[in-house]
Amino acid sequence: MNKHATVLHWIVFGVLAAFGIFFVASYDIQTIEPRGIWHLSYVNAFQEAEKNLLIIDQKVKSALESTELNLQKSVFSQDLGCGMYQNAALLNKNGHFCPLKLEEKLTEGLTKKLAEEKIWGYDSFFIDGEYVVGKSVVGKGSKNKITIANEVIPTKPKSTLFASYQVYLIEPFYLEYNYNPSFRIKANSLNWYGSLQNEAINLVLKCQNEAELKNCLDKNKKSNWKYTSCEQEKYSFESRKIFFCLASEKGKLNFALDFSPVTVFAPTDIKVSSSMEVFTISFNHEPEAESYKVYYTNWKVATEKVPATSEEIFFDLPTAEAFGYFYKAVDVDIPAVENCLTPQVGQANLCNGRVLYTLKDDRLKQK
Amino acid sequence: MGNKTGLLDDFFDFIFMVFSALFILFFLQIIISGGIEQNHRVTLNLVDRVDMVNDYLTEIRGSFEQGKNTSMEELSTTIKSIHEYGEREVEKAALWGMEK
Repeated sequence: MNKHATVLHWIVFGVLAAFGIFFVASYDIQTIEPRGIWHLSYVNAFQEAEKNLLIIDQKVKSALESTELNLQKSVFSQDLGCGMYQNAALLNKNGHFCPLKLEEKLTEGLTKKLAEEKIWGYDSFFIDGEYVVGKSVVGKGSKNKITIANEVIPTKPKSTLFASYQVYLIEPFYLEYNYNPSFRIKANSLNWYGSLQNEAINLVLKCQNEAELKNCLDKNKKSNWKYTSCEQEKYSFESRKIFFCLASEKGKLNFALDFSPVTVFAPTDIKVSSSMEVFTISFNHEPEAESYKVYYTNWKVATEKVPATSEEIFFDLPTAEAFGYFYKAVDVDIPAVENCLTPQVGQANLCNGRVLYTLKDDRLKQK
Repeated sequence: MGNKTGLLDDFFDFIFMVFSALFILFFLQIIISGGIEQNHRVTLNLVDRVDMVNDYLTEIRGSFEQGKNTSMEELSTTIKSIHEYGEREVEKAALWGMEK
């Protein structure tokens, strides 16, 4: 072999040996980078965000539960606009139900609670049906960030003679994952109070025009709706405003309903007596009535037509003078103060819940 | 004669070179494929870890929807322990290549 051939000959060996030595020398098990770490770190960041969102949801839910508890204590203790009855809010007045303003109260209470708990990040929250929604506008409002500081790049333990510690599996790289800290939590009380109000509306519609209110209420009210007190039920006949105590899973709730009828009831237990051509008419006074109109006639057929309106009764009254029939209406005003003495002719007295009215008309002949 | 000896010498040199190349490439192949397999195991373990965290978060989210709260401490501790478990597995996977 000549000199040139020898050089070429050894160059080949040299190159091969260089490759071999390089690979052996640079092969270090600690510096091998597994594939897909960037992608896995991104998924880890996403999971970290999911965890944070779950924590936000839990915090908001706790705040909401606490707000709902406060709401339960206060919802019927303040005037809803229909007045108060025995320290409880009247839910209705003059044929309409006052709004419970639950959303307003819930929003107000929750705003306070979220501030106390320092739950930030959302831009606004509102009530959507039976859900409380906290929203942050994508690309605008507050955002939360996940970066490598959140330990989203996988690490591995490393030990030396003196210490053990974690090292990144690969060199840390720039990572930032943004998420909107929104929440959507079901507010159970909204539905619950809505159902309660519906039950109250149904009960009022069924019973407000019933003269025998207690019978109607006993028949139609729910068994956990107690009169006056949850412990010792007691029905008060004093007025048609009824105080209820509701024993529920939310605790005891006190509220009142007004069963005042839309129209005044007709007087009951009407009695007529006469003495010396003076007629005394007595009947049970209806608390809502301010005055009455008494119709009298000498036309006997009229008695067969009752009950009916005066127009219906006297529609076919023979009016020819020869018959001598007549009917007359007199207004009877009810005095504010009770007086059990026999009233003067043409006057009315109120005595023990009964109206006494005396009437004298020469055209009425006593038989 | 001289040419014959030279030819034989060159022939053996060539055979030696071919065998050397074969051994070196064989050795390189073992190193490279071993490393790839090792990385593959590490990545699979990390994927398992992601799956485990995912399963855990799904379960906790399900419980939350049914009204059960999980404390922040429990949530963080469990996820941390899954990560630590994953790290041990990653370490095992990394050592697997060496043990082999």
